[in-house]
Amino acid sequence: MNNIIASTVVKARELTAEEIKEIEHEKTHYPYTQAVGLEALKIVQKYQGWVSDESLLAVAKYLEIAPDELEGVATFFNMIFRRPVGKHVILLCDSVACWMLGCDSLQGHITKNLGIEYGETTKDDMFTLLPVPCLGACDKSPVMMIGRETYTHLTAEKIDQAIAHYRDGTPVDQDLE
Amino acid sequence: MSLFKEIDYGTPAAAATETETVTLNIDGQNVTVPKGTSIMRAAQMVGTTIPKLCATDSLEAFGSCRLCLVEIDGRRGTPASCTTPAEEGLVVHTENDKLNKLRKGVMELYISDHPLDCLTCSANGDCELQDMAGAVGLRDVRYGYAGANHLDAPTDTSNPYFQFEASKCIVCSRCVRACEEVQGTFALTISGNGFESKVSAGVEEDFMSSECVSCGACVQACPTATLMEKSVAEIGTPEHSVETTCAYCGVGCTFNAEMKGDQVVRMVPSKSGKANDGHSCIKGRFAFGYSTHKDRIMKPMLRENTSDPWREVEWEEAISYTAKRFMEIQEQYGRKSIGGITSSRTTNEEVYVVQKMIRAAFRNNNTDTCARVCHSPTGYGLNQTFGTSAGTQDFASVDETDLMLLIGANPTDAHPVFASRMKKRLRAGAEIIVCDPRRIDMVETPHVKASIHLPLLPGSNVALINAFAHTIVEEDLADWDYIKERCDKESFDSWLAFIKDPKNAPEAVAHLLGGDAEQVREAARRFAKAPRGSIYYGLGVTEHSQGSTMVMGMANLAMLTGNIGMNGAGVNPLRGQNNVQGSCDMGSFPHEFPGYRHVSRDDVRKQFSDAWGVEQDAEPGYRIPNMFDAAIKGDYKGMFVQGEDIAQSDPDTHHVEAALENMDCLVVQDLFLNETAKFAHIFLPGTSFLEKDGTFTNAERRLGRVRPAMASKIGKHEWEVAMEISQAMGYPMHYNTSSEIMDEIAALTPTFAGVSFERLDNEGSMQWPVNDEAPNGTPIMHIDKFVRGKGNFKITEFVPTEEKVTKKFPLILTTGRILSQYNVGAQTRRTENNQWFPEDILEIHEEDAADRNIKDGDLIKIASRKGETTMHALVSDRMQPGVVYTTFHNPLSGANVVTTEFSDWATSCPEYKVTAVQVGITDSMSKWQEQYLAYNEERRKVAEETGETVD
Repeated sequence: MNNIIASTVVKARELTAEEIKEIEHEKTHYPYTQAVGLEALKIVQKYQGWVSDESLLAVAKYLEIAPDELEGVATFFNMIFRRPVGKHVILLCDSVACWMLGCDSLQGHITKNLGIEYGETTKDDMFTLLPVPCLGACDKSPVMMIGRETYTHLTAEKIDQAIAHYRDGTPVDQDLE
Repeated sequence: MSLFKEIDYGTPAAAATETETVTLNIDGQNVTVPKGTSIMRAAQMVGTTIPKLCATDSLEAFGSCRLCLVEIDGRRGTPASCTTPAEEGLVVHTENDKLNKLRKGVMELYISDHPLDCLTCSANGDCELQDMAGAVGLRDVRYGYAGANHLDAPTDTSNPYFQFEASKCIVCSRCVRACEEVQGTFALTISGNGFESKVSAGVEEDFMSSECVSCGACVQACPTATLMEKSVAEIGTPEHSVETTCAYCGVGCTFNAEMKGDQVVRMVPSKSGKANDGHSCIKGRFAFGYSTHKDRIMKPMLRENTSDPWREVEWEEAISYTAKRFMEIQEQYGRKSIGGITSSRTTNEEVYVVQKMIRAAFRNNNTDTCARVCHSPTGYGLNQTFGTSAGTQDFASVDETDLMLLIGANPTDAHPVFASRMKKRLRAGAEIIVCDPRRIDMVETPHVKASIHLPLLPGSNVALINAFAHTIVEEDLADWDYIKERCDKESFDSWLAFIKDPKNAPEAVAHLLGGDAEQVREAARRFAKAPRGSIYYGLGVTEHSQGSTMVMGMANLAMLTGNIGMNGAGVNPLRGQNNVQGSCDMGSFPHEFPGYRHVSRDDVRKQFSDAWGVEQDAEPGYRIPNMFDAAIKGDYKGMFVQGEDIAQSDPDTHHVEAALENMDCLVVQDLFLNETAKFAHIFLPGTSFLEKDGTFTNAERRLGRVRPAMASKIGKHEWEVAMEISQAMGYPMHYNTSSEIMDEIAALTPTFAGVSFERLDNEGSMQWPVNDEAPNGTPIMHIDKFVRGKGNFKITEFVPTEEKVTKKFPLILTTGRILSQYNVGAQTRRTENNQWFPEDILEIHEEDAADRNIKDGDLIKIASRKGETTMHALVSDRMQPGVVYTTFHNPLSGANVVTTEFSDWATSCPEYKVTAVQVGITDSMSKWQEQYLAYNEERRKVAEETGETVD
């Protein structure tokens, strides 16, 4: 609510027809539009790769909720990206079970090979590395996810294979998954 | 938080409509509560306080802090008492070793990530975290303090009134929920998750650049020092508190002025305030600094000529000089050559004494009030149709409405606390239809979307209301039973014949109403079909040449649909000033004694003649515009202006200034040397609301006590000044206290018969009429029958204003207010509120802007046939093509230099809302503005030379 003329507020972008169509479809699953926030963010992310301020404002406006509320939702869920990410996001679990089985050294391995720390993206925009609190597969730790695939009982070798797969389509050994 | 604690029940009361009760046992005590009450609240009702941090009774239960755990016989675990509803037969234990161990564990975690600087903390002694540490007996923190923590989190000091000290935040969400549930702005959120969770204003912004409207609900809700008034941080904790009524808008919020000696530390809205339910806006809570601003004049001042420097004098000289000048003028020019204007900013008692001075000491009816320029059509229109000059409902009525029809009012800016109440009801499922030329926030704001917005052209209200009524009659949606039983048949029949005329059909006037006749019909249908439909309106209705017609049109519509006399319905004026209702009630108008009784009525005149011992005049006196005309003609030479800046606020500034320049003796009583004081010969200081002892009457007819938080800074009560002038003019008036004035008002005014300070102090605020028929006041009027008997339909022919757009002046200028400033800004411009809105700006649609090559921030000349002024432009999607908009908070803007002489046909209320203008880029200020600045500069030099203190 700052000085009206001086304000340099980010403006909402226009949602695309595809985005609107999918959001409208989600609306039919919920009793009121405000409840669609998370699904709408996922839809926008699917098309845009991440949720920019402009996208967040657009969704808030479309669903008649406050941008701040949606920001609360967007930042609560790790899988909603509020900063640009690479084509593939590596989610490496760093919670207790994975930590006990050496996820720290696996992170070191990724960082060494790809040159990215947690929160960073490779120069070629292929990979972003993010920590994740738990992937619900503690019995198979250490664990990571890339895209929709979960990789369990991780070793440095398995990670290298998975990354190679995403980089150039090299097939991944069946027992890796 | 508030140091002077009202009991916090932890969770809100069960719905008022809940009649079923349940009985449960808490720590051995049986307690019976309405169904839906939480265990936490039930416990507090029998005096058992369960430890809590995230719960407070202004917010819905949240259940996050886990301190309020209890055990319930026969149930597993330890449920949170805030989120667990009381049930029949429950046996609840609130204290035992197990619970205490759990609570202590929770507190250890909180304190392991909280600074231990209690002694130097601004909330020391006023901190719920501190209280809870004491309540659970915390002596040690097993985790130590060296682990990961938030102690280095930065403090956000961007808001001038409060700070956000993130290192002290316990992430209880009370601020976030207050912003949502109480204020309805949704500016705060918890961002991140787990250890990274934090309160965030806006999308990673600071408070000042976020959507925050600075209402302070979050500050009040915060249990720690995290969100804290800067004044408390600077001055320290208050030591006593005075309950009083806010002096800004017509909502009339009850506040506790928390004091340290005679210094206000902070204003905290009172939960017991029936108009505001513990809520406030930026003005009421924070913008009180003007009362001690250095510009305030504390001593009376005189000057022979307006070009002379002011001379400070003692009260005695000022009073006797004023009386002498007035008497000399009357001797030379006649009894009717002087008069006065009462203020809607002062108390009922102060207004009453001024109008009595005019009627009894001046011996004429030349009294008017600033309500002339705002809600005089409301008084006239509602009196004609219902029989009373006031709104029909209390504010709480909106909680039961199904549909709000909002016409010409912008409550989120002008009546923010009531707007929050409206938004709460809208979030709960009610519908709103907005009729406004501009896309105001109520059209679309988080969780609120008007089902229909009719962007009518300014000046088309009556066409709109007639089109609504026409549709309802034509489509047979009227409440025929109600009309038959409650309304006057003859007036209804002739109105019916009138309204059926096709000229009133939506299709005939759609071009004035946003273009879509079907939408107009749909709005009418929705209103007619809503079980409880309410009409809320503001100055966008009244400040037109057909203001009174429109008020009657709305009254017709409400009667036509059976929407008068019950909760959730009614015709509700949102009145602009704290005591505009009261100043009208108190007999400020030239044709009416207190209680709206015409001066031509022999019985009433006899009553006042007898009581006051002076024969009362049967002729109405001058209205404000007549005063100006008479002054220019030379028939009106002396005037007492109480707390109104007519030179800035009345339309057609050139005309007003010419009138004021022609006065022989202009007396201004005000806090500051306002624009009118430039033309004054005598300046008498006034008191701020913090010094007043009396009553204000808000928009719902509620009389709230105004209590002095500090001694008068001018050495007198304001009513003593008029009393002493009156005495010096030979008419004796004797009051020892303002309570005695109210006693006289009650004795002479049937609607106030049961009012006394004693009752208001003991029983709280009351809504008039308070008399034998309604000993405890009247929240809803006209329940079984109208005050005038049968409801009176009035014919409301649409007559377009004479102010027309032309080739030369192709745009319509309309005006309004903004949240952070208040009217002419005399008060708010002397506070930090300027940071939000330093100057008036012209809002313009992008097409009109593009035609003229206007961009944001360009200096724009606005010209009407009356005058010219300049201000900066804002290209705004709130506007429609052909209409421009501005506010009038700053004297330099000179918004009224361009407004016209047209006014309401019945009450002379100025037509501020329609002025034909042309706008275009300019590189220099208008002549009027240059003269204004030159005058100020000249006055500053005179002041320097003479040592006089000037604004």
